[in-house]
Amino acid sequence: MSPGQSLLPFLPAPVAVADPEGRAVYVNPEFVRAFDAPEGQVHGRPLAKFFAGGAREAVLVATARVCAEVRVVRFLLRESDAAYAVSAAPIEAEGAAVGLVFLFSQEPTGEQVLSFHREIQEPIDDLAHCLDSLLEQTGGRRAERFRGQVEEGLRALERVRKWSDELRDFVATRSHEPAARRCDALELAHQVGEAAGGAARRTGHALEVLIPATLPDVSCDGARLSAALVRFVRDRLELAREGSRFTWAAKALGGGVLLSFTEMGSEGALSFGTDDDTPPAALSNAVQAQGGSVARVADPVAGVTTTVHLPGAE
Amino acid sequence: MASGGAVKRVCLAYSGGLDTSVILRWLIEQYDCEVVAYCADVGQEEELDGLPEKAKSSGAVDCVIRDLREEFAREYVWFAIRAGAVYEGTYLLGTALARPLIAKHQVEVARETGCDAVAHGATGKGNDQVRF
Repeated sequence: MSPGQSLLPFLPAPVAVADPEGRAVYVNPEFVRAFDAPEGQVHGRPLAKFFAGGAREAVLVATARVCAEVRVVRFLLRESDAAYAVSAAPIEAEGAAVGLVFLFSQEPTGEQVLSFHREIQEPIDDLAHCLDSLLEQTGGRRAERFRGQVEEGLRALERVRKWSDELRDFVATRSHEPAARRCDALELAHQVGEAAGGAARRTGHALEVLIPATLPDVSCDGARLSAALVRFVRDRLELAREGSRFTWAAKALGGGVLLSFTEMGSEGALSFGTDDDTPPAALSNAVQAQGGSVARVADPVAGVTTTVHLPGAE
Repeated sequence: MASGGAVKRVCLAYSGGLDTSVILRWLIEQYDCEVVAYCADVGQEEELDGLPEKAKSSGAVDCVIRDLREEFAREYVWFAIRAGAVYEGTYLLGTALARPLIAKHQVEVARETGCDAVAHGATGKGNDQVRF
């Protein structure tokens, strides 16, 4: 059976068949598309030459190993912006490899990130456990200062955890199709305000909520956006230093609505560094998916303000 | 087989091999019915050569060959590869994977060709009848 006439042309992944010297015998249409292989000029060309740098090296090494060991070799390959999990399998005859089949399975970025998220939870938990133990054992005259440092470490760790969760949520949000629809902005603003109020009571931070009596409807998926905003304001309140002050506000702007969340540290100092003027990725992604925009301004006096502008409903 | 009444027209999953060639004749003689031979192309290639002629010479009123290669590769084989589905470390399950797809299209072909029954050659000894 020739590979060109079998099932290989229909596989939704790049496949290449090579001889034991690593020269291409067949590549499927998906391979031609993914790696810009010149159609009709593939046969006899070293397979590794379709790749550059480390990817080329990886293909060469895999070819040598498959032929020497007559077993499947798996490796990761990065080409342009895509990552592939590659399986190189021998075509066996009488115990020897008379050819190789390479299957390039593209690794979805989202799955990779989720995998990293899972992996990173373990060291975070271990570190938090260690710091908690240190805190429990703290005593003596230098205890106050030591406790302060450990508590600072725990807060920093909590921020790592939050950012890790944010990364996961970013991927999750990207994987959904936007579902813009008419949304009651007043209800949305109050939902987030109530969630922020609850977090402020728990953490002891001051929170001012400024929502007008009326707001125009906006074009967005209210449930999805509310979830993203609630998560955002809760995170900020829970991670803030003692004595921080916050403002959650909403107002009509340009036919739509502008929502803003301002963070001020105690006595005017910022809760977070002023150099951090990038809006959180998960929030940005959720808002942009609904046709809105997010901005963040950090000012030593005015604090850090994150604004979300939502277009008015048509 | 169809319930109630005599079978008039049977859609037989047909490979052209010994079993299904015998079954084809047996159906005609046993039920005095028409048989439509149905074969799924799941990439077996040379086994399809001359199949319609063979089926008709065995008594089939028609032979339908469905090209299922793309659906098989994309919807069945690819997921099995992604899952690393290799039975007992060696067997790649190609036959088992194809069976549900073959059966699905067999029913479609049966409806399209006016059959009131379907038949296959999976024996009671193996697990093929379960697959079908």
